[in-house]
Amino acid sequence: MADDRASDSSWEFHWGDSSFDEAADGVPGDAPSVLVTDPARTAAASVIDVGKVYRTATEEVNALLDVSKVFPRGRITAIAGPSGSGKSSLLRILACVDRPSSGTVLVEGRDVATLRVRQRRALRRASVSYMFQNPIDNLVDYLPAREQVRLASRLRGIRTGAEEIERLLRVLGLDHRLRHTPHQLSGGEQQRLAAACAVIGHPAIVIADEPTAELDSAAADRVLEAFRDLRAEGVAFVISSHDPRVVAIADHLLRLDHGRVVESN
Amino acid sequence: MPSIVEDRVSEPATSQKLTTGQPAPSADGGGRDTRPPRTARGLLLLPPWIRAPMLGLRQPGAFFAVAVAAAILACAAASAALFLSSASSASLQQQINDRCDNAAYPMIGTQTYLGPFFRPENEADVRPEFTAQTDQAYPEALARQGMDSNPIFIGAQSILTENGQAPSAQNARFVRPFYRPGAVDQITVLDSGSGNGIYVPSFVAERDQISVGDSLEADGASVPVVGIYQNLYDEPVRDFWCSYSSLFNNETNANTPPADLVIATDEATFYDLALARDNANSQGGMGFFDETSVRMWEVPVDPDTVTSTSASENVARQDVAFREARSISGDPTRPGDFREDSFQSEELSRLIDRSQRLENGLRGPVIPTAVAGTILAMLLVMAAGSYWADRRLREVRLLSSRGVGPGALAVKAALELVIPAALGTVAGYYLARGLIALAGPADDLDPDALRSAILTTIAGFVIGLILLSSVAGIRSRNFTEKPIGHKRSWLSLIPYELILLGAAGYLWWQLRGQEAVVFDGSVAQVNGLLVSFPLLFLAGAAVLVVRLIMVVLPALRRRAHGWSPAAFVAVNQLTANRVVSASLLAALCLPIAVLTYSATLTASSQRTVDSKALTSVGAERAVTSFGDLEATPAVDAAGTLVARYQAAFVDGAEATALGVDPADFASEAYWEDSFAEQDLESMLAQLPDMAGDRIPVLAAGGVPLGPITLELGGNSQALSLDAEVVAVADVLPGRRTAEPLILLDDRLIGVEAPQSANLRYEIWTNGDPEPAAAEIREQGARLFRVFTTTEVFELANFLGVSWTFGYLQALAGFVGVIAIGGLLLYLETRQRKRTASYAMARRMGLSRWTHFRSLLAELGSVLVVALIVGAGLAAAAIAMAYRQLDVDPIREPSPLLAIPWITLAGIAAATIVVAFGTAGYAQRRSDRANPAEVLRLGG
Ligand SMILES: Nc1ncnc2c1ncn2[C@@H]1O[C@H](COP(=O)(O)OP(=O)(O)OP(=O)(O)O)[C@@H](O)[C@H]1O
Ligand SMILES: [Mg+2]
Repeated sequence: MADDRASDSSWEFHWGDSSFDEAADGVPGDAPSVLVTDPARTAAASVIDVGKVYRTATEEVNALLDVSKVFPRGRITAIAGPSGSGKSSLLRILACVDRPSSGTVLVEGRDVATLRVRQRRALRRASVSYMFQNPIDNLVDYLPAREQVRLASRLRGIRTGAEEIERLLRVLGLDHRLRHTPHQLSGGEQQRLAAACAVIGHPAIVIADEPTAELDSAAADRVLEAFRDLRAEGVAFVISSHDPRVVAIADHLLRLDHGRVVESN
Repeated sequence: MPSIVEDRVSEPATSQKLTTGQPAPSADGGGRDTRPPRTARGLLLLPPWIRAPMLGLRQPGAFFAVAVAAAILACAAASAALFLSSASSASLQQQINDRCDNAAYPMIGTQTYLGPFFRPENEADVRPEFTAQTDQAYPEALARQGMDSNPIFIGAQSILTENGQAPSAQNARFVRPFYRPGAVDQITVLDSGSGNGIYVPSFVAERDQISVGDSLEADGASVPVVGIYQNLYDEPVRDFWCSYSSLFNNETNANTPPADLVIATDEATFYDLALARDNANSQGGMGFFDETSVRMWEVPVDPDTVTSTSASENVARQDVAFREARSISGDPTRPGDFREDSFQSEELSRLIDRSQRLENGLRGPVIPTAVAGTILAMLLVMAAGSYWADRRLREVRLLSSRGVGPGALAVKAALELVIPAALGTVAGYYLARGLIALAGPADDLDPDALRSAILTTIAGFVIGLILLSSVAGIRSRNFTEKPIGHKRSWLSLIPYELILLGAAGYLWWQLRGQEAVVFDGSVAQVNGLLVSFPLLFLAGAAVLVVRLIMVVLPALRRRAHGWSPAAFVAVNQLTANRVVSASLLAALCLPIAVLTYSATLTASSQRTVDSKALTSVGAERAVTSFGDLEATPAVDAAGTLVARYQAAFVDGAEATALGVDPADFASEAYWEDSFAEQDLESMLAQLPDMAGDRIPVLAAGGVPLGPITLELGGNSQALSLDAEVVAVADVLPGRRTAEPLILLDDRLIGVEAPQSANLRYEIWTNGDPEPAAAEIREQGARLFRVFTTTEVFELANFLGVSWTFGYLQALAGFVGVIAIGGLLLYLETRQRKRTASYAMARRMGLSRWTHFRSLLAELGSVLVVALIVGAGLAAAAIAMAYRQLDVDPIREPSPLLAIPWITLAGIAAATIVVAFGTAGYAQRRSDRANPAEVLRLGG
């Protein structure tokens, strides 16, 4: 199925950034031939020797140093570490909104560095979901829950049937909240709804930066449970947190300190 | 075909198999998704776009900012066309005002001999037939052009018959028949009867013992007298008679006064007299064969609402009517009859031409000014777009993070903001019209100007909306896509303002070789360079200076550690985002500089014109006499006596000499310290005492210090005097010609000047001229005239100069509004960060008052630096330009500088008010914000 996956990923780029139709949007050539055995290539995403240096007017900050990790599908990977250890920096790089200073980032087998702006945007649209820390930031104020999910799916270029959306929301325990707008939902419900929006449309990777930081522990538990339930979507979850419960539910762990990997499994 | 989910998830976490968003397998198998292409149109049907216009209404802050920015843009875009049209209407109306109302009236007419005319072939008199034809043809031709006309018939002079006898040539008494509907209502009727006939002036009635009911006989015709009216020359000229006053007033002081005007109540009465006259002529009677009746038809229009377009249209229609009327068939006189002459009014097209010149002259400076204003307004619009992105941060960041590109976000911004932008545009257009009506030269605008104003407004709206949404889209994208901590590209380091400065330098170089004020005909026009050069210079230099200031800001920040908390916070706020602070500073500099520049040049050109007029007259008024005057205490009380030797020669070259009274000349004479190195008093003090055996004199106009021969009078009787120039000045009062002017105490001459010196006495005064006039009469001389400063220039010719700078000042005030708008947007945009740091600082023990002081320091320092830099740059531009601004190079003095202190004080006051106002506003916003919310959003 590796071939399947490889060719699978090419369609996204054929319709590419069609929102502002640019014929030359696709990745040059077809999917690269890949080795079935190369986990970095078959995983949803991976980082290889990634470094990040922030240059300010006065100094340079080494936020990440030689970080390597594979993020497999259907698994939750927790990124742990003290404040300032580089978690958010790594997530931004994985989410294709920031470039690494060195090293390689692969998303669905594509080397992100070789992509042009529009191609990266297209990749983000089709394959990457990013969840903000504050639940409300992941939702559009004026839409009821069901419409939020429908919008997320449409933004990915997919029409999803009402039954499927309802079924997804049922899995997340939101079936009685279909018509509620974000402000009528609790923080935990908002974040679960955000998770539904993140997985809809079959992205490769869902990135969540401290998704439970704004929630009380019961709500946080419920959200983490939702992530576990959603693993079945075949999505790679990458979740950063100080929260030990996140590490507890995770399948894999990457612990950072001062930008270096101190634990990886 | 295994599902991808199964394929990838080796150990399903839930029993429930989810296939959310799983596309159906395509026909060729392989489990590929067949997602429908997400097209632009597809996106537009999604709620964030479909609902955008309504979403925009839910953002009062952004709605307001965009509406105001759009209004300012529309106002700037519309203003040029409206202003130019207003100026040309105003100059047209002013010119008409200076003349009779009917200068604005379309008019066609014919001057025809009405007597019998025999065609050679049939010997029949065809004249009456032709007269009837023309009577119809002219008004009908006008009517076909949609113009209702009134006839005005002025007959040739008729000769009164006495007792049925034609008088002898010596005794002939003349009357002139006149017919114009309504004329009877425009005279003072002394007596009247009924029926048709003529009104005779009281002078004729008394002389010839005529009363109502009698008949007047002239050239054999007899018409009933139905009224007596007061002689028109005995009463003020009414508007109705304005352009016919030469028919009754002896304006040329001719020996024979004009014939007495008899006013016909109807056309038939007029023709009775006019035909009789021409019949008498054709029978070889005595008379004025060459004079023929004039019949014209004029179309009254309201002179106060005339515009260039309406006037030009009227001229065009008049011309068509004229051509039609003169080509009527059956005209027996054409070709070859010299007494037939059709004519049309040419006055109006002359006035149009003049106001066209004025408008053309304004175009040069006004268009670049308007373009500059529009560009600045667009910057505000772009700032408003950025502000929108900021207000809509949550949603646009979400959409951007989900891969929506800047284009789609820009479309969303456009959809959200189109309503406020459109409302603002409409409001701005009407604001521009309101401003023109209120403060512009005239509020009568050409339809053409309205059309082009609407077009430029719409273009501004479209471009503005594109810019607005582009900025919004790009800024929205930057929330998620902009690589953080990237290197600045070298493109952003280029000092682009040097291009502006280079262009300004080029224009300055061009200007040096040209007159800053050029005359087209007699209409003064400001050279466009005088406006475009400083705009470019001020913009470029402001940005350059601000860039330099920004370079030293970090150093300031490092030193700020020892400062008071308020100063420290302020410096940190300013340095936190240097680009924004710099843009703000530059944006505030510019209006201050432009306002200072234009106000100074306006005041200077005004002062220069006044000064030239005063120099020419010598004082506010010069009361001139025919006949000699002596210096008496009464003369001294009324002013200062000046003896003007109009024909004088200095070493053989033409000059003018003024004999003055050194004791009180300076008290009335106009003087500026810049005219000479010494003051006038100390120069005059040298006049009374002989310099050796020479008469001491003051000289202006190129006569050097030292001995000269001063001759009074030009021929062999010239009085030759040995004189010594004891002081020279660039300008001396009373100089009316380009020749040198000599001032001397003429009591030292001792002998009477010869007739050929052309001596005229004048009494100069800055007060009431009446005592001087009385004294002239008292001394047995005749008052010649009172010469005042307002007579030196026809002020209408300089309207263009003051209007140009008026417009520039309006722009500057307008840019000030833009800058304040920018200041508020700056505060709003940084409010979240500011509130966050305020909340932190409060926790750390910073008092509310200290915070307010820091805000005041932050905003106040920006404003004060803007004030200093703006005023300094303006001073530089003024120093470079004002000497070029000579409204009349022939008259002394050369341009004077006038500093508009009131405007400058106003700018300074406004600066203080704005600093306190905005600081208070920001403080209130910080106080009211919820710090927890703000801290979490984290800016
Ligand atoms: N834009 C930036 N410019 C300069 N330095 C930055 C920037 N963003 C982050 N850093 C620095 O990079 C380092 C890593 O930051 P990062 O935000 O990735 O840490 P984190 O692990 O997410 O911390 P936290 O748990 O507090 O969110 C920190 O030292 C931070 O100060
Ligand atoms: Mg972080």
